[in-house]
Amino acid sequence: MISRAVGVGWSLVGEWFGSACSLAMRIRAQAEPVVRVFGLASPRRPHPAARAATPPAPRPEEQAREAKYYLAGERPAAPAAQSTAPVGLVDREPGDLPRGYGHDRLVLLARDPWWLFAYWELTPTSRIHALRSLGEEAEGAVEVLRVHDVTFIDFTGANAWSSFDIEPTPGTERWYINVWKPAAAYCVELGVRTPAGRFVSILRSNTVTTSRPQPSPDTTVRWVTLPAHGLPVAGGQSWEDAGHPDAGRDGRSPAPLAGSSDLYAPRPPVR
Amino acid sequence: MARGSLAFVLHAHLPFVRHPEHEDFLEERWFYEAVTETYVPLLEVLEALDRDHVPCRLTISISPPLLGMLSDRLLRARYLRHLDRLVELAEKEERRTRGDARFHRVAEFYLARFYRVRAVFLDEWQQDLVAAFRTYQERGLVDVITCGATHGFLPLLSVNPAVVRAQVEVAAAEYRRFFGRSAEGFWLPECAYEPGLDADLARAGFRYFFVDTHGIAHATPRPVYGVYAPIACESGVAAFGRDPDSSKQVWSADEGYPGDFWYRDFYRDIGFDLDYDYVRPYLPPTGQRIHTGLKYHRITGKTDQKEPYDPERARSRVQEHADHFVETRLGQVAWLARQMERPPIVVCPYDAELFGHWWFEGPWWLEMVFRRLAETPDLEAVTPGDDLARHPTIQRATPATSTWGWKGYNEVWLSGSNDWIYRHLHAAADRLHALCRRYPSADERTRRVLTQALRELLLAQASDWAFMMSRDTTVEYAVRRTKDHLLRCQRLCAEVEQGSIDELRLAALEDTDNLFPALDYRVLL
Repeated sequence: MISRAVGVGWSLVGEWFGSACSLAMRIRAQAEPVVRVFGLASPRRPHPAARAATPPAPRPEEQAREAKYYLAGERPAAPAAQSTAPVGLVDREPGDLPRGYGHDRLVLLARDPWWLFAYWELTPTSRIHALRSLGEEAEGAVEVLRVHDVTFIDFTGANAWSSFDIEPTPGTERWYINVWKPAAAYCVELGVRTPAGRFVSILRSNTVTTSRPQPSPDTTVRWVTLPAHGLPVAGGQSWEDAGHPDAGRDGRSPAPLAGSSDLYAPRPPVR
Repeated sequence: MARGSLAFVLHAHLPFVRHPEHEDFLEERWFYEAVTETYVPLLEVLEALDRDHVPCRLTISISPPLLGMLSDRLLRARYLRHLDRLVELAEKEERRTRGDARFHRVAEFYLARFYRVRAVFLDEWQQDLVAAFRTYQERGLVDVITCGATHGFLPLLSVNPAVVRAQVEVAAAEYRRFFGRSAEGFWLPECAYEPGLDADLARAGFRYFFVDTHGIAHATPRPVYGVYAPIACESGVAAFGRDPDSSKQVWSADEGYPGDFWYRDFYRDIGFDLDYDYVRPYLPPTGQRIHTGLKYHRITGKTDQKEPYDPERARSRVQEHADHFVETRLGQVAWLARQMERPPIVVCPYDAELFGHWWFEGPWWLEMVFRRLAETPDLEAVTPGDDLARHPTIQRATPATSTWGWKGYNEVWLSGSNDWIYRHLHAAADRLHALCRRYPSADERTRRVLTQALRELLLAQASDWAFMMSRDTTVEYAVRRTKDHLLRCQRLCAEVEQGSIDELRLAALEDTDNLFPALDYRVLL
């Protein structure tokens, strides 16, 4: 029964969705920026950050969403940022946002299954401290982003499944990172690397998990019954798993579909 | 018993745009246009269905900023002023086109339309459209749900979990303030989900939310019924997925209904077409030509030679499209029902502003779909809450990280045009969060400052700003709003840190950015 249900679900979502759609999304999401920027695909080549691309022609759906904000052309140039508001009200704020906040920070965000975005602020003190720790090796050391695949592990700094380095353009403080393996967890370190390959980490980012762009290989089926009114309160009475009237015999489907993910094939950590 | 069900979900949202510091502010027209072209027409649909006892179960998410604007005295007064001028322009147009066989009928049509909008807004609901939706909710026609407090794009804010919780909890509290009960459903802004967000929804008492098709199709484990049944997250909150077929029927560039040649053309507007001096009194003070709302042409075809709009002919096309939609859904659920061990639910979420504003005939279409459904026993209109009540046993699975934006992930809100905002949004959130924790029971003055700082932070987080930057639409305004709110938040934080509170300025900020009057900074604790 379960296998039938699984088969049904697969056909409901549609083969086209699982394969063609995810393939199309993959191609669009990863090939397009690379092709646009470099003219060819290169898995770990740095991607210049902060490049304002011309927005693509909108799909009808985006166009309709955008139409909420159509009034005319662009607003005419605004007067200088000084308040003309009546007393008791506030107009524009003078000044601009600071370039940085004086704190070391490295933040990682997932853009899609194949691209991450990192921004950072590294205070001069921390940079100097790191370079000093290299001693004479500091000569010729470069700032690098070390990207770690930390899927399913508590990252200690030395136990990633794999890692690779990116050398951001000097002076930049944000970067897009092409990761090429979706449904995985990543963490990034900003540090300095000597010509001999010694790496000193200065900042470590949060961990992000990228999305899965295809159906899950996990075909476990488990039914639960939601309470009729309201939700289980956190820490309160829990809601219970239930057998589905038609489906819940063994609760598991046969072997997972082949070729769906390499998530379950861990590789040895790279030092 | 019906073989399947259909859940229409309309997401109504506009960013909070209220500029009391200016007598006439261009972007406030977003709100005026949406009231005239979408919210009032939707209420007319509900009124007609209610009057004729047509069964209707429609889910509408009304975002907290929109609730705030709909209930704001200043904006109501300004809307009436705007509507009066629209009526005046339509009256002039009716006179001007007398003797013009091509356009007089459509000018008359607009005049009648604006009189009707005025009657609904002023006479039937005394300017209180939130009360109107509440009334139809109490009468069982709609289920109003809520959305993020200011429509923040939650996965890109979650490096500070406290602000994500604030987006959820402030929305829940605002809903209770307006509707006197808790909302069951939560519209994730931009349908942006990442695992773990459901726990925040569970904590705030929500029962379900929505994701785009691939959020369900790529869920773990793989859902056996695809998007045609909800799944239960670890937290116990249910996720409903968007049906790709019904979405395509409305959105397909080739077959989509809104592109029908008999429907009204969005772009041709007398604000651009008529003599400048004639329309000048109805343009903003800057004098730039803008959309007035009087659009006299139909789409006609892929041509610049547009024919006059014929509302009657458009209505008959609406009937055909409504029939076609219901027939297609019937075929779809008949097929699905044979494959499934429970009746399928087809979830059709749309931006509410599609109906009326972009697709002028959309509200008529919606009404006719409900009338047609009433005659179709095999297909029933339901809300997601109805479905969960009937079929509480669902599969446990975690939706995949996804959005309903271009390419299906975060790129619209995280690209070269707008990625600079996150550094500042995160820094402000961290600073304010730390400050709130330092003053868990602040004195009245400090409480007001911290609360206003939170208000400013939430306003800066609206996903609309990043969307506009990415789409190259009103970018200057989007940048201005992001920066202004962040600067205000940072300056208020600095005042608390330095112990030098500027009370006059605080009062001015409270009057200007007056969303969430019941807000308390302790929601961040």
